[in-house]
Amino acid sequence: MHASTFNEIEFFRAIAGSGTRALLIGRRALIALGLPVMTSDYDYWIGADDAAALNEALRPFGMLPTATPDVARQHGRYVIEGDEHVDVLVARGVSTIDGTMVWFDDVWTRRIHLAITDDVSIAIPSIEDLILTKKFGARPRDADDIRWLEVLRGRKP
Amino acid sequence: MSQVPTFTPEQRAELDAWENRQLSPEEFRARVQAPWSDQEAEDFGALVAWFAKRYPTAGERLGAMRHLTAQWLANRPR
Repeated sequence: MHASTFNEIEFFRAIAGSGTRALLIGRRALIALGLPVMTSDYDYWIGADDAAALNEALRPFGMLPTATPDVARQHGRYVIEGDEHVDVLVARGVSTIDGTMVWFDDVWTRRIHLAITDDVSIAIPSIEDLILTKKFGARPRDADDIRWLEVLRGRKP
Repeated sequence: MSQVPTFTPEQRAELDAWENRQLSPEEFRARVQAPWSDQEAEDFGALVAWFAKRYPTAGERLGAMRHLTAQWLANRPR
């Protein structure tokens, strides 16, 4: 087994510079907002036409997609993997467990940017939208994450 | 020294399946809306305050949790 040379800042820089409409979702977004939770992969929700650009941006990291952009769009999700594992949601809209449709274009419009360094930033959904994305999978940990996000939302000015 | 108990691959798979199961809408709502105990709220507030003070930027927070998760994965009993 070789040691990974993965550089997270360069990873975020590559995505930001690719022109991809890419929203960091999942637990990494919670961490960025200030919640200390553990996760071992990256979750992104991207625009329906942005898979090819994202794949190209991550190729220099030795990360390869499990599906072509067309197949990924048909299935609504795919994985990009190498030393790191990136779950990619590529659907135009997703239903929550209680039947609310959440549309990428709307979430993208309401996105917030967080600085990673002086010249690199990431885009994540607003806290309200992040809570909605946690209702897609509706696993026990998603419910726990919503509880924490709701407290965090209450603390924001 | 006593042996640390570990999961078999089958037990780990069973645990993963349990953790990744989809709850019914009723189960999910109940879990989200479960009241916080005073102790839970206090612990959570202290943890979040510490994390934000120790790692004031999003980049520092992501880097720190990435490092801690890697450490945990490398050292957990197999």
